Formats: sequence, C-alpha cells, structure tokens
Amino acid sequence: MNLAGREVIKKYSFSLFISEGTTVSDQALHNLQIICDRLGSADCDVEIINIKKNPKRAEEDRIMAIPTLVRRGPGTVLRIIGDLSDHRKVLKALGYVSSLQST
Amino acid sequence: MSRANRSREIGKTATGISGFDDIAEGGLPEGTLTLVSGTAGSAKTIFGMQFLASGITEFEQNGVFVTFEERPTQMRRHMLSLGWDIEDWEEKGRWAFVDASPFVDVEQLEVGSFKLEALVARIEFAVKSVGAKRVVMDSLGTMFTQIQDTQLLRSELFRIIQSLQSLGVTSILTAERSYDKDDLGRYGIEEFVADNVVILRHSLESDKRRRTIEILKFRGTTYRDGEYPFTVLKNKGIIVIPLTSSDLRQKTSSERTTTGNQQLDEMCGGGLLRSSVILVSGATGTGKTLTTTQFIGAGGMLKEKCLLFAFEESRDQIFRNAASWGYDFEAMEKEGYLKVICRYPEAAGINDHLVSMRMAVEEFQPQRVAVDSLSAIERIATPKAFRELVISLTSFLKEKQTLAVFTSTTSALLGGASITDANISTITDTIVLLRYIELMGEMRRGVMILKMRGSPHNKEIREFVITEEGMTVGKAFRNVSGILSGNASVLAVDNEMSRMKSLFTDGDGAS
Repeated sequence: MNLAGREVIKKYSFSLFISEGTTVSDQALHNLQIICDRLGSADCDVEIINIKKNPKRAEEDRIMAIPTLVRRGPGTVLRIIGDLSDHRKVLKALGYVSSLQST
Repeated sequence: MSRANRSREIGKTATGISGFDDIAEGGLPEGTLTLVSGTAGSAKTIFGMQFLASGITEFEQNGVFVTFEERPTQMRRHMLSLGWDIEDWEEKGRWAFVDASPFVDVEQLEVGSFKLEALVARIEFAVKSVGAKRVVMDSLGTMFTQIQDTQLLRSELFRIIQSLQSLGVTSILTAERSYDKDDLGRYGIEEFVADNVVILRHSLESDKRRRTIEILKFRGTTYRDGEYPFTVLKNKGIIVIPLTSSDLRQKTSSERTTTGNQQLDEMCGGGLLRSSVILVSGATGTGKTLTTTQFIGAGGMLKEKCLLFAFEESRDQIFRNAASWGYDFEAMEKEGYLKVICRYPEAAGINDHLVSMRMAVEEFQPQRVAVDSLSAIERIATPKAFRELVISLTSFLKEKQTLAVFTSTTSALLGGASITDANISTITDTIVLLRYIELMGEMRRGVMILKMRGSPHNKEIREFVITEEGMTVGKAFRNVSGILSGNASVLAVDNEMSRMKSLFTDGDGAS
C-alpha cells in the first residue's frame, strides 16, 4: 500500500475514513489492503483519515458513516460505506473486471 | 437526567422568538433537547434558525446548525431573505454548519457493516470550534430517509443526544408530522426525545389557514398550556401572539374622557372610562362610522393621538365623510394626531392582521384606537380565531391604557344580535347599541348603552338623528316597547294625564 505524498500519479486514488480502534475500521483496513493488492498495489494511492484525530476532514468530506471509502480517481467520485467485506462487489464498483474468484 | 438534578428546577434558555419566551415562561429548558414538530411549511426550520440567530444577536451565544435536508448555501439564502447574514457570522466564528444533506451528484453504495460515528464527531467538532451553546438539527425525517437502517440511526441519534447533553448545549431537533396529527411514533424515538415537545401547526379550518404553536410539554419546568397563533414576517421571523398578558394585571382608571358627543357622555355617566374598550354595534347606516368619527374628532380636540384601522372604506372616503360632518381629519393627520391604516380584510391572514395591528399601535403610541369594523375581519376567520384576535387586541390595548372603539355590524336591520356581539360582548367593557326603529311608518334611530363596566349608565333607549352637524341625541323613547327585538310598538296610553306627562319628559330619565 502506498501512502499519500508520492510524486507519481497513481491509477487509483483513495481516501479511507476510519475511527481508529473500532472493529469495522480494522476490517476495512484489512479488506482494502486485499482489494488494492488485487488492483495492483503499485497503482493505488491511499490516504487514511482517522476522524477521531481529524474531525475537520470528516466535515470537509461530509462523512456520515465509518468506514467510508472515497475513490477520488479515476473517473467520478465514488463513495463506499462499510467494512468492504465483499471484495468482489467493491472491485466491480471500481470497474475492475477479473476472472479470479473473490476470497 | 440524574436524580440529583430532579429537585432543582431546570433553567431556561431564551429563544429570542417574539412571544414564544412568554408562553415558554423564559424559554426552552436549558441544556436539554427539544423536539420541534410540524408539517411541511410549518416554519419549524425558521424556528430553529431564529433560535440560533437570536443566540448570536441577543444573548452572546454561538450556535451550530446541523442540516440534513438543505445545503448550507440554500439556508444562507433563506436567512438572508429574512434579514440575517449567516455568512458574516460564520466568518466571525459564531455560527457553524454541519452539512449532513444528501449527496445528489455522487454515487454511493454500502458494502458491509458500518457505524454513524462520524456524525457525532463532526457535531462535537463544530460545537467546540465556535464554542456553541445552541445546536439545531433539521430535520429528523430527512435523517431517516438518508439512512435505511433505522436501528443504526436510532442508536446514533441517542449517542448524539448524549453527546449534546455532556457538551452542555441547549438543542432543538425538528421533525415532520403528517396532516397536523401526532406522529412521533413513526420514528420510534419518543423515549429519548419526548422530554420537551413543541408543535407547529399550519392547519386548515373551514377554508382558512392559520398558524399556531403549542408547547406540548417541558419536563421538569413550567410553561403556558394551549395553542397560540403566530405569524412569520420578513425581517422579523416568527412572531407568536400570547393571547393575554400572563396575569390580569391591567390597571383600571376612573378618569373619564369624552366620546365626542355630549349627550352620549351623559348617557355614559359622564364620559368614557380611560383604558376601556367600547363596542359600537348596529346595522349598516345606523351611525357607527359617525360615532367613530366623533370619537376621533374628540381625540383631535384634546390633542390625543388617534389610530384608525379601516377595513371597509378608503382613506379618502373616510376623510370626505368626516369633513361633511365638520371634522378636519386632513389637518389632524398633518399635525400628527391621526393615523389611518386601511386594509382589505382578505389581504392577509388573521394572525397577520393581529400582529400588524399590534405593531402599528406600538409604533404610533396612540391614546385612542378605532377599528371600523370588526365585522369585516370576522369574515376572514373562524369564530375561534376571531375571538382570539379580539381577546388579544383588547388585552394589548388595555395594557397600553388605550381607549378603543370597535364597530360591529348586526346582520338584521331591526333589532337582533350579530355573531360578533355574541362572541365578543363579554370581552368589551362598554356596549353602545345603535338601532333602527320602525315606528308608525317611519324609520327612526335609537341609541342605548347596553352595558358599561365600572360605571352607572343611562338605561334608556334614546332617539337620535344624523344631520350635517353630526349626531344629535334626543329624548328617550317613551311608551314604546320591543325596540331591541325589532318589533317596536307604541303602548296605548289610556290616561290623558300620562299622555301629557310623556310629552314633557326630558331625556335624563327623570319623570
């Protein structure tokens, strides 16, 4: 997983809003890792925002639920709420077509 | 609420909403959540916004507005049209929005479990960043349409309420009801928001719409029971009309003043009592407007300010009529002793009329007020609403020690009581009846003082005429009965002596 701040423009750009320490957040982090691996981790740019530490960002992005994954690119902005447990559903929403079965 | 607090009465947070703090006996219960429930268009959002706006402009309390329905840009526009510049307050760090409105242009889906913690975090952040003491959440219904999982939402709402309580803020949550009936059950949240409930109605009664507000309950503190009319005015927002002052504190006066007609003054035992309300009732053409004109003219002579509310004639007509009887209203107006406000009753709702009349009196500060005629307003309201208007207006005028004349039109030409009379005759202090009397082939006129609180008065029905000089009251009708019922008949007089006597009786009742 790549952290924000790199110069290189990645194919996928994500912001994941979590509440650190909560089960759903831990699961989302775990699931996002798997999803990014599927997409090709070199292609993913992920920003993690802990709303407990940074409620201002939560307000700016109008986050209601935790966790919320915001795909900033490519394409239009997409928001996915939840622990991302259904990998296939997430990948499909991201437009990733794969012949591999989900775990 | 902890047990330790129960013995202490909860303090109040003034809302700054005109009239509401009266019926709420101070304001909303401090540090708690109040549910403000109303149908669409019932002004509940304005109520919330006004609560915050007053907090800033009057009470040095900053506020947070959590919007589930409209976007902040829309709200800023709305408030600007009511005269409040929110953007300015935001810049000054006194107002913060939490934008929980729906995403319309962004795709969103749910995958797996989630919590709504972010909302609490955002609200807390906003409260801390402006040091808010007031929070408004608008509205519950839209909150529920956004998130399908009601269980989740309810537990989140509970957390929000607890958070607000520990932050020590006084808050409002607005909610929809349908068809002005009680609907809290829809959301299943009564158990934690039912402590304090205010209901706004915009109901239709016999073709007429009227806004009312009611405090259903406040836990642990006092408030005034019942439904109260209110209106929404540009640049002022919500104005609630408390029907009467909280106690019967109105001062009475034994000071007398003239009606503008000497004979009428005599009939009233020397004149009208200051701060009394007089009802002049009669069929069309019986002389009500003349009576009012005399009354105003007297005010002019005494250099008293007079305010006339005219619902039936134009200013020009009124001035012309007055001039034909020798009263120069034009001059009176120029000198600042007369103000005439003409309005079509149908031009506004009854609450609006009441509010604007009160405001006009506040502004002009007259010693005399005339309403010509009350019957015109009666047309546009339900009997209940009309009665409330009269009670409110009367109470208000008496508090201001104003002398007032209201005219009312009886529907029957001869005798009979009008609906107006039945509704409001108990409210007014003095009733003057003007009646046509059909007698021996002629239409004659009679005047009498039906009642006069606080003073002995003449009980006779006296004949009067209307000429270019105005109203001249003459002798009492002798040996005539049935005037008020409309079937006047002359009593047969057997005795020559009593017939002679009757010819020479003068009008003061002595025989």
